[in-house]
Amino acid sequence: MKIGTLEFSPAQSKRLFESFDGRTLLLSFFLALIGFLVFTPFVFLLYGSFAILSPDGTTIYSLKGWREALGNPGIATAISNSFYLAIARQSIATVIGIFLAWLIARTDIPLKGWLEFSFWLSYFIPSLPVALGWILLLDPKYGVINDWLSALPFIDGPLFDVYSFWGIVWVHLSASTIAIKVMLLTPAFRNLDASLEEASNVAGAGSLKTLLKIATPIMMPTILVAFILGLIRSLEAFEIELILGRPIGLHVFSTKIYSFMTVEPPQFAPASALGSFFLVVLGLLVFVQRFFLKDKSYTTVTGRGFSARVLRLGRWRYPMLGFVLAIALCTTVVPIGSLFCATFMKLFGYFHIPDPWTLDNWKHVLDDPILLRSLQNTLVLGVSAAGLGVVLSSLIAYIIVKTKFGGRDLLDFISWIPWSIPGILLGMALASSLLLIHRFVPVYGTMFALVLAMAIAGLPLTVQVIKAFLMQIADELEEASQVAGASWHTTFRRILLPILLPCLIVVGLLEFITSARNISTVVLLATGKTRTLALLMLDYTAGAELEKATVVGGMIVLMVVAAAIIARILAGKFRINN
Amino acid sequence: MRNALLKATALFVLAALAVADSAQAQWQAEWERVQAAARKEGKLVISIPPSADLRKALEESVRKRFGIELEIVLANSATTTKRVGDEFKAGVRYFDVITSTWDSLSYNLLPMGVIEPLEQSWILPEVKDPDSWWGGHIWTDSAKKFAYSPYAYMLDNIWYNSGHAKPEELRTYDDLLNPKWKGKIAFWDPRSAGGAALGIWGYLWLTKGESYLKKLAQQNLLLVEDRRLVADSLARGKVAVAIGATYYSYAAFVKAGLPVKPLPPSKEGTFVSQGNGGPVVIKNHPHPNAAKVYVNWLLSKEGQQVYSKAFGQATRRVDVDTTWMSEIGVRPAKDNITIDDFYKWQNAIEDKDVTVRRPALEFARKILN
Repeated sequence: MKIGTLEFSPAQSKRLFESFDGRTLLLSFFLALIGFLVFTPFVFLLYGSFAILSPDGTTIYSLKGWREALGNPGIATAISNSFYLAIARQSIATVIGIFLAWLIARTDIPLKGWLEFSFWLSYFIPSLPVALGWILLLDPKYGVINDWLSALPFIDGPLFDVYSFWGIVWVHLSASTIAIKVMLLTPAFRNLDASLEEASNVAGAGSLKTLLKIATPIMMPTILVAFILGLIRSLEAFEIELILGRPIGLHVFSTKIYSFMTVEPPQFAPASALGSFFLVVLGLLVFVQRFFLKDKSYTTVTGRGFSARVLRLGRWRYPMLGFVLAIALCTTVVPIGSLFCATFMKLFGYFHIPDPWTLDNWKHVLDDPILLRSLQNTLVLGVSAAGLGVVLSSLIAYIIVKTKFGGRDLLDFISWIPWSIPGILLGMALASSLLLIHRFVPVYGTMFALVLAMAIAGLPLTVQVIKAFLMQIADELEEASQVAGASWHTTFRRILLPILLPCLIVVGLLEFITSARNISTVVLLATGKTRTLALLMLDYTAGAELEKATVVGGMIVLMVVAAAIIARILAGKFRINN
Repeated sequence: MRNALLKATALFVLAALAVADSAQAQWQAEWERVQAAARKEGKLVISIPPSADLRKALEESVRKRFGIELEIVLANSATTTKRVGDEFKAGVRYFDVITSTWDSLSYNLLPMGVIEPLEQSWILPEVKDPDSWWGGHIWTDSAKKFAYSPYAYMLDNIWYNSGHAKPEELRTYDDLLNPKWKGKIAFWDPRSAGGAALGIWGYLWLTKGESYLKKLAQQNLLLVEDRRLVADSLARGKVAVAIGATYYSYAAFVKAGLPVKPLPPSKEGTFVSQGNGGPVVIKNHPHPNAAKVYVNWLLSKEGQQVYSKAFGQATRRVDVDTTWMSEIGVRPAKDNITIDDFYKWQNAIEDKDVTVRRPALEFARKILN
């Protein structure tokens, strides 16, 4: 009997028939709801790629948008650049991420809690100050590191150039690409039963061999999810490419979409066409992920005994600490330092002007009458989106992993769709969806519209994280509880929830941070009343007041750091191996 | 006979005064009534160009003066007009007044017929009176009904780094084609949503021709979408000359003593900007009285003073002092050129927009990839 997977024995079939029917109906309704929320924006996007507004105000339908998108000069190069950049940084980040997560979760490296936390911090920092910070250090003309190195006798000219392919890769790695890998992989490594590694050691394998031959293969679902999520996000990324790529003529897929959206007048049809094309790529990546995970078991959390013993690094303990610290500093101190530096600078990055420091930026922002309202809005949005996101994604992930519901493959695919649409297009498509239902469900223009948008936008990440976590939990835990007479509700509350809690806290935190920082998805849905801190930052940036924008950016960072500390304390309390 | 003539004249004067009094009483009564109704509505939703200073100035002035809360959305007019159009189709009425020229309205809102004729909102005689405005009433739409143009000015939009270039080397637009400047010129990308960049590009297209622009593009222009980065590139000496960005982008760099300076106005002239346009009232908007109060106040002497000061766009109102604006690289049209020159050099009014701005933009898309 597998109640958790909705399989019923013949003896129970009559009694459970109604319940089964009810559940199927409920699940179908849920599938339809998620399908509507997620699929409608995509339909609008596809529609938008064919709809051209004629001069007399009528809409005509043609392939003009697609022709303009695919015939755009340099589009093929831009697409190939996107793939090269994404694959380069994901490959590097995956290798480094696995190693760092393993060191933090499975070894006796000192300060492991702080090290893990530093990667969380690094993920929270918006990418704009990270890029600006690295420009400050690695610009070929005035970069501080290049200046220092040029002073050495054997170095002629700048050693590094941040405006290059590898410069972009480096900035991405330090911004969030490594951090997200560590965040996703560390909890999963932590849940790995040490008896597997111990058995490997007993059989004569060394630590590295055990990592490569035992731990890594078992961790494959989480690693694959992290890799594919990262790949998709990399293909979408545009801020860093815009700042570092455009000056050297390096265009990517997303900057091309951005260019269509920002020309006067905006070219929505070709932008939507390029956005729709991305779904094909996404479909392939989802297929690859499913192909690799099919018919394989990755269960690590079972009803049997669980050993959480860590590996002793011996003489490698402190060199490894130095290695992880160096990466952690690059991904946290540089961007946070440059961000807070900028808040006190008359001109960002200009240290050599007379009297470069000022408190005026802070004074100006703190005097802004809408600051407090923006702060409140950000908190409301972040907390609500986190709550709604966790509930929705847990349900979706549970249905996909733990039930035999017929529509679960479709649900799995649908949950990826929000990432197939670049942020600004998703915001536009969501606005269209909410306007469509406005007469019946008047949420457009309210804070709930932003909450819903962020919960939907975050689904791919949150569902995949919970899914990967659930795949590690054996069905026998639920079965044992059911056999002992517990209801599904009690089993969920007493067995599943405590195991899932650290993962749900991470997911909630990710959702909170994503919502607090997000600009592109909410900008078209927000009103003057629902403006968040991130949108206030955009207002300052658009007005060319970068220093004031960094003050607001600094406030966002402080807020998410506080959230991260709270979440870490909570997650630490509920950790499995505790 | 003489007495009769005197009596008739006196009667006429009295009648005229009575009519004037009655007209004054009428508009004053109307103005009072609208203000009271606006206070009851309590708020107004407007869209303005992205500027925190302008947002603060408008919010504070309107609240203090009329007790109305402004709910302000900061966005460029292309984004706002798309949003208003989508909302209108869905039956949502959120915005009362947006800020735009004819150009952005022409893509959806005007063809959809969702704009209210602006003069329906005018109450104050100082707004209605063409003599209050340099050049009379100027509109950017040919119908002269929907998109009023309260601003007109020229800008310092070519700047140089004094460590890398001398102004005497750059006296004419042709000087920019000197091979010496290859790879040394930044241009605020005229294809991106930014009026000043497209304004100067359109002016060059009109006055110097496409062959000139082709040669300019062959100078390996550094095309930058963010005006702050244009200024930063110049201040750091990455380029010697920068085109498109204006004083507001350079203000912090100038104050910091960095070697960025505007080139003296070229003998070949420059375009006349009409800024981001005037107030545009959406049909069936939710706060009709507050919208009337705002439109009248914004176009009054006081409103234009506040707007020009906070946003650096020079008003055409003759009773507002704009001479100080030369300090911020803005040369108000009313203080510097004739009205004939204005019509010759502007490129935002519908006919010029269609015959100059749009083909110039199309040409930019063709050659700047």
